Amino acid sequence: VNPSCRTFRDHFEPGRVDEHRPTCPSCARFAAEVELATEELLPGVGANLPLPEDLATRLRAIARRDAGEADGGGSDGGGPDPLAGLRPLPSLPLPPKLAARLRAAGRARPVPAPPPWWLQSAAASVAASLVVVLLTGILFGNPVVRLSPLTTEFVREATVLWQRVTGGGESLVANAWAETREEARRNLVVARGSLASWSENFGRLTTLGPTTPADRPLRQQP
Amino acid sequence: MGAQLSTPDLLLARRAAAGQPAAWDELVALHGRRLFNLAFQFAGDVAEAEDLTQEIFLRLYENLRSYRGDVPFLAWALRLSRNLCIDHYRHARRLRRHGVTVPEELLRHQAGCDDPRADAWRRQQLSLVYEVLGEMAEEMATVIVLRDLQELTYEEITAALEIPLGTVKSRLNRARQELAEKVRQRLDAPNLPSTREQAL
Repeated sequence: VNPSCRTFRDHFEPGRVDEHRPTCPSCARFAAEVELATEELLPGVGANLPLPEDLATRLRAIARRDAGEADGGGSDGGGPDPLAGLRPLPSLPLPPKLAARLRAAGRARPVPAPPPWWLQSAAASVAASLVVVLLTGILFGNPVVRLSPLTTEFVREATVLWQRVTGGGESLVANAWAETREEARRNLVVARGSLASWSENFGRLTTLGPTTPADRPLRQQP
Repeated sequence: MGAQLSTPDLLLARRAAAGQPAAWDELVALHGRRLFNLAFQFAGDVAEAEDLTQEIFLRLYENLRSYRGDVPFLAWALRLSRNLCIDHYRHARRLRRHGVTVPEELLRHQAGCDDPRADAWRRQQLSLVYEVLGEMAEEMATVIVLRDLQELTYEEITAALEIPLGTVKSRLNRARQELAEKVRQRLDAPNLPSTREQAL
């Protein structure tokens, strides 16, 4: 459907004159079918039933029942309740434990005590930090000075380790290569053996199969 | 849509929500019959339609405070109970597939005429329309039910289904065309549309 046909079909209204309709047979057919539906098939097909009186009574009673409940009384003076079975779910009483919990949730909770003044004050925080730095310095000395020998030791150990690794590197690589090559050779030999065995079995199966009609001897003609 | 309007329905809804039973009665009187017929169309059976109507009104009453008058009341009612209606509609479609095509009540309430042949033809047509509606895609059948069978306005349909007006119109035309085509095939009267075309 091209854009002009699509526009025509989307906005078509039965009985409306449109320039596109006579020029496009497909859209003319579409319009005729839509008009057939709207003018001949669908009119009068829809339901137009009267509202049943008992249903109307039940519908009107919805508001009265709620009003009656709010007043603490029933909906009417006596007789059978017209609203029996009106609501799909039964109205269960609230369990006492749940009621107590719900009531407790609504009560005012105790307000927590505010934090002490020295926790809220920025000046107190700065002073506390200074005290911590001074105490650390006095007890453990200057951290830079104390860490310097450790750093030197670490660098020395790392250098020795590196020299050891790079010195024996060539032999390590050669050994690894020889091991890999040997492993690959062994795998190749095993695979060749499997292939040969499989090929032999397959050959045997094909020769043992039923003879094809072409292999049978020709029937002797009388 | 979207703007709050002071419609009579809105005033009635507010009064009913405030606990005035007379306002609720008026809402029932204004919309009860249309909603019942819509429910019947979705449920396909009077007893089911009564249950569905009751469910719809219960939902309406529980949500009256949230009605702001920005959409027609009937459309708002349908929007609130759309899932309920769809469930009933699917159930009715299953019944139609098992042989029950046109509800008896509908046939009984159809205006009859003196000509028994015309009456029989009308019944056959009705039966075919319902049969085809039962086979159509749900969204297609729904717009036909709302617009052609229950004569809701476009505004009401767009509000109830929450789709744009253009979509409603194009979907409705496609649905009508599909329905006519299928009914025509069943009637085995391929000359129906072509005679129309010749007349044009």
